[in-house]
Amino acid sequence: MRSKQRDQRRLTKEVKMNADSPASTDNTSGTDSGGSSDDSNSVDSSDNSDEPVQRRVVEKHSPDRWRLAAGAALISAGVGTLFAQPALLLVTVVCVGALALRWTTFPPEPVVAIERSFSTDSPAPGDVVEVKTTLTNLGESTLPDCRFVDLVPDELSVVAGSPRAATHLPPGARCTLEYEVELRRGSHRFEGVHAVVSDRAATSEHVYLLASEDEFRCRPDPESLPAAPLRRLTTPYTGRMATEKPGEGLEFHSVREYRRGDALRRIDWNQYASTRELSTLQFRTEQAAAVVLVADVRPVAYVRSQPAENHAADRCLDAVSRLFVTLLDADHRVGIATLGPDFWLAPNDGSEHRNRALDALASEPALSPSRFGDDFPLRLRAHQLLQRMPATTQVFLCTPLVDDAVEVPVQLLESAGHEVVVVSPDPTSMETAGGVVTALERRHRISRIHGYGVPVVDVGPEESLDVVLARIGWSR
Amino acid sequence: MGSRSMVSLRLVAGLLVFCVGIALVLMPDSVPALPLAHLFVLATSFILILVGLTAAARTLGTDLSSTEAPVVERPVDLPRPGSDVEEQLEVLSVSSVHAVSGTSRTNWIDVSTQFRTRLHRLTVSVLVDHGGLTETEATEAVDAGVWSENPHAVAFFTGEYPAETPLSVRTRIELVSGTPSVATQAGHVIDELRAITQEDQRPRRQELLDALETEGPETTNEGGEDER
Repeated sequence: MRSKQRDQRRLTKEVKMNADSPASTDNTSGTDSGGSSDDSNSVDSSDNSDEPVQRRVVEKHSPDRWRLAAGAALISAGVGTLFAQPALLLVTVVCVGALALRWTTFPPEPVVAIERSFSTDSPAPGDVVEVKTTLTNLGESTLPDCRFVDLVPDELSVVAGSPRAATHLPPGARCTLEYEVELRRGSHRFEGVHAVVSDRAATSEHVYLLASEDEFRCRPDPESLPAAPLRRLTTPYTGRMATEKPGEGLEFHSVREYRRGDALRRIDWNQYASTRELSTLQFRTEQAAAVVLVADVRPVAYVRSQPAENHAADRCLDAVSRLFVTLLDADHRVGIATLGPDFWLAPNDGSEHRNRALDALASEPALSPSRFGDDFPLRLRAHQLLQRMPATTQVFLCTPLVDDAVEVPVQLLESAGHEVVVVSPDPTSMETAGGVVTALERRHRISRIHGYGVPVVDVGPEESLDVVLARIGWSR
Repeated sequence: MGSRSMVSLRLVAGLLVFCVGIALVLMPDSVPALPLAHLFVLATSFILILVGLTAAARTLGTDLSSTEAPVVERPVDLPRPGSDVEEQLEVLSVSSVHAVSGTSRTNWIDVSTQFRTRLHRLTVSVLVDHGGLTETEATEAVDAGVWSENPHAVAFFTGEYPAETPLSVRTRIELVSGTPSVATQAGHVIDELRAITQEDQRPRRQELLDALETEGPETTNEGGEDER
């Protein structure tokens, strides 16, 4: 059944080429995204092939070697005057000429069109995509010495080719940067091209940001876990989670005295055969749970021990996506919230809700792999969560536990009756002195959270969540 | 403000020299009228050479700057967990508080106090979690200096090297290198904590309690706590 749903999800992936690139960033409200699967795995690409892009001067720079010319001019003038050597005075004239050139020549302003194309229209996490960024000089003047660097999104890695080039660009000429990036979940934004333009004599350099925005949105296709670490709190709705309440269900609960009206199929006939007394079998009632998955995407969660590994906030979001599909597949009602930049998706179920959540994981800035927005007071966010959540909601808090402040929402939510489970990807490493201190503080933090009666699923740097859940024996 | 006034001073001086030069070119007859003409030329030559040499030396003595292109081939640099600790250790790596002055001194004292409190709390929690002590016992063990056999780690919290400090360490401190910096002592504390959390090197509760009972006031004041 799960594979069928997965296939259906794949079939619903559609690509939307959007000519207005800024439209892709409109959805920053932080509340229920309300998206659909239509715009999930997509590329929002701006077509600027005929028009010059906007440019902004970032920096103006003059290479230091010109100071040497000034020094040489002064020395030769001094020595020439001292020893009455006209030839040396001519050297001064040459140096002054060079310095005059420095002050009279300027790098030309780049009037450039940028066209960026991708080898796929439906990017998925793990895909390697070829990016071609073509810059055309639309200006009247030659760009005698220019260096371009395509600004690859923060969390993408270049796996082949190079996003940079140094060239000479006459009017109408083109330069193409070709490279390949490996995609990851979420929204990835190309901001533009970093350009350094110099004049013919290389007397000064002007650094520009050439605006050319494109965006990848990679919808995750998370694998279900064998089980989610649910606690006991349930909703009144029928579901698949066995509770302690006796009633209808599959799992045996107890035997009680027969009461008039009990169904014949629930009578314990074995008991009757041996004692001639009627008794009724009771089963554990099966109900659905409501769970809000809270992802810690505060700025402090954007840490990693090794440059090649995913940062802690991204690992938390990965855990959220896997727990989301697992719980939804088990007919529970699931929602998503954040600590940090605000995002709220109320608990619900059904395929439409699944699409909405997975789209949010692909496009919501608050759930993006790149750091977004400012921090928000944790206590206020915890109170906001308490107001938003129905009373019978469990909370899975996915956090790397890198600071003490995160204990505040844990305590507030648990004491308000929401059963909390902490799922914590460990970002620490014992390789450095700082790493040892942080790792040991984190371990003690876990002990304290255990002390509040809250289970913590600690996922090591090299471990996956399903392996850890299997190891600690969470099979319910 | 200072650099701006310096620039305007240079500008005025430059304009003045330029005007004099133009005047001399346009009115060459005024040159013989200058008093001490030879000495003036000599002095001007020396000044030119001196300023020229200074400008060249300054340029050659500094790293040539250039525009730096952003590194975009790999994911953006993010902080490592514990990078704040590394920064604090960097501040505390100077030999003592007396080696710094002004705002650096205030900063050193603040960082030292914060870091000592942080490591004290961590050491107590490690002894509670891994040594089986209560929080009170662990605090007493740390304050009394019996929690570790490493004299540098002990001295980080007590400010004094214990009496049983090996002779070689004592000699090195007194005769050769002096008291290690707070960062060095903190490094020993962190090494000890790492060792304690490893399964085979956990301290035995009874040993720690016995040490706590027998701990006397016998310590040698070797420093390590300059600011106390």
